[in-house]
Amino acid sequence: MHLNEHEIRAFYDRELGEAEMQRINTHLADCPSCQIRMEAISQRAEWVQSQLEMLSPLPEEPSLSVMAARSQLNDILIKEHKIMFKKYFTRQYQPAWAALCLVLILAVAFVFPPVRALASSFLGLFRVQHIAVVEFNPANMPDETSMQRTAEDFERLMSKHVTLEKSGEPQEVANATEASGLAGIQVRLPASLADQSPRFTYQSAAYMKLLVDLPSLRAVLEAMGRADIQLPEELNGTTVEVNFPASVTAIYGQCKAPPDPDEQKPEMINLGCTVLVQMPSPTVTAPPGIDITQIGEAFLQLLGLSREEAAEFSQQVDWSSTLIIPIPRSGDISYKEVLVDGVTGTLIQNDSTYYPEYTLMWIKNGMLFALTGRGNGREAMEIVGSLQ
Amino acid sequence: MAETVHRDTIRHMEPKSAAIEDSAAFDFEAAFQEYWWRVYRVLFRIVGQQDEAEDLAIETFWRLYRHPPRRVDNLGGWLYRVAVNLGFNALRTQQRRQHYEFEAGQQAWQESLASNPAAEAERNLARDQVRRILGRMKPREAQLCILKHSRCSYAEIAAALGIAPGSVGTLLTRAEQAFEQLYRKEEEADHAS
Repeated sequence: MHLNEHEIRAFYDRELGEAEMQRINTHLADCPSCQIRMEAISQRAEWVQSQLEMLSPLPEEPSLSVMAARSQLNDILIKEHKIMFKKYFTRQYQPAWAALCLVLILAVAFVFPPVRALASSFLGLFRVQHIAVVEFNPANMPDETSMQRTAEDFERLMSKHVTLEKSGEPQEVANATEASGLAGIQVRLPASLADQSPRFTYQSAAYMKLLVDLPSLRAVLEAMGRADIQLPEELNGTTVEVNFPASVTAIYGQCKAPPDPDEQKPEMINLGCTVLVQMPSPTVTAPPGIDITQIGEAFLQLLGLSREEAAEFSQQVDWSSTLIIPIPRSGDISYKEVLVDGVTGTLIQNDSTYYPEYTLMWIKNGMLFALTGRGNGREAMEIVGSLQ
Repeated sequence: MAETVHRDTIRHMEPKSAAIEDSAAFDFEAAFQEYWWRVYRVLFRIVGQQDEAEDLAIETFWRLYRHPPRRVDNLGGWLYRVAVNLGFNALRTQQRRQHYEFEAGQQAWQESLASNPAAEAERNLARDQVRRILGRMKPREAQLCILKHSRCSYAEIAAALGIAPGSVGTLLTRAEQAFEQLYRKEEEADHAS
């Protein structure tokens, strides 16, 4: 029984086990025809290898060191963080956890790692009752190099002090009733979309805890060149906890998953997809005696507002119950306050994608709602108008 | 039951894509250290230019970071798969462009040959020839040759190309035959002209 091609080649490459190698060795010793084939195959293999060897980089040809390469990759990742906030609005299909958690953590926290971490360290919200939008100019933020230097330190700092707990992934449920039961809330749905047979997912509650280490925070601010921003001393050593209650997501229409990274052309994600997320307002537990206003102003200054502007804005906001959404100043994204569902809500319009998209958020009777879909404010308002 | 999830850095606090939530845990930094050079070299062999090879290598690891595989039983295989795909796509683009530029009689191409010292020019010509042949082979066969040359094991090759480990030997031999045939054709064409 002669050797097959794979056996001959694998023998040559020494890719077989001991026993096999032995067996084939023995066979070769007695089989001239297999020997000839082995000879031919190995000669060709060596020749091809020598041809390919010409492609190898020579020692004198310089190239990036591993560290330099890693640092270049980091540059790219950080740059992507900067446009991620904008990208968020194009994600139409999100499990409830990603959607709402993203809104709350990312919207309160955001584009730049230090800002992100800093924000989560003084959320200063007790139960979210209002939403306010702050526009900021990314150009006013610390420049990229100093950001990069401090970003890693800051992350290391925060990593020791941040705990995130969630009990499981979002699960698909059969209908609104089941979702209501699981989440313990009365799910409201837009009647105007009822004919689109919604799908429902349920995300159980999650919890985040943050231990504040003020000296390190201050060191980071200093490294960013913002030693002028003051944080109250009482904050040091405190623990801030955020509770995200269970949420229900209703998905209407055609919602596609995020695009395949291997595909060449950009995917149009929104094919007439509307998503409504609802959950009881998150609660934040922070130690008593903290001057929330001072923290809020520090946050605004970090976003690039002057001390006076920060103070002025701060006066108009009830920090203890307001969710702040920072929006980078850009021609494509606009926002305005609208009257929906009997309360004041915030409508954010994103025109940077193929189709205009909106996100409408409001809080009613202690429930936080977020509606995203294709179109403009009018469509959004109509949908909310039909909520039951 | 609540499960505590301790994340190492704050960037993990933001949901990037669904993939990172259910992919297997692995150490990105360690993977980067371990595989960077091998990935870079494979790409250099394919595209022949340092800058481009670096860019493609960084992109390979970017994909690992942003869209990690669900299973990591063969991380090397996964990285090689991404790398050879990127590399051969780039090679084809390069060769199409070179072909066009050559046909159009672009001065630059001629000049760059003239400005290199003789040994370097000769080496570049030889490299170009090999890469040209690779570009003309069936993609999988070209990838097989490159990966084998880059000292990948049969297991890594199988994982990278999505073939059965027991077929690697046969397919590799055939790929080398194809390489040889194309090489002969080129030689004949050269002598004829």
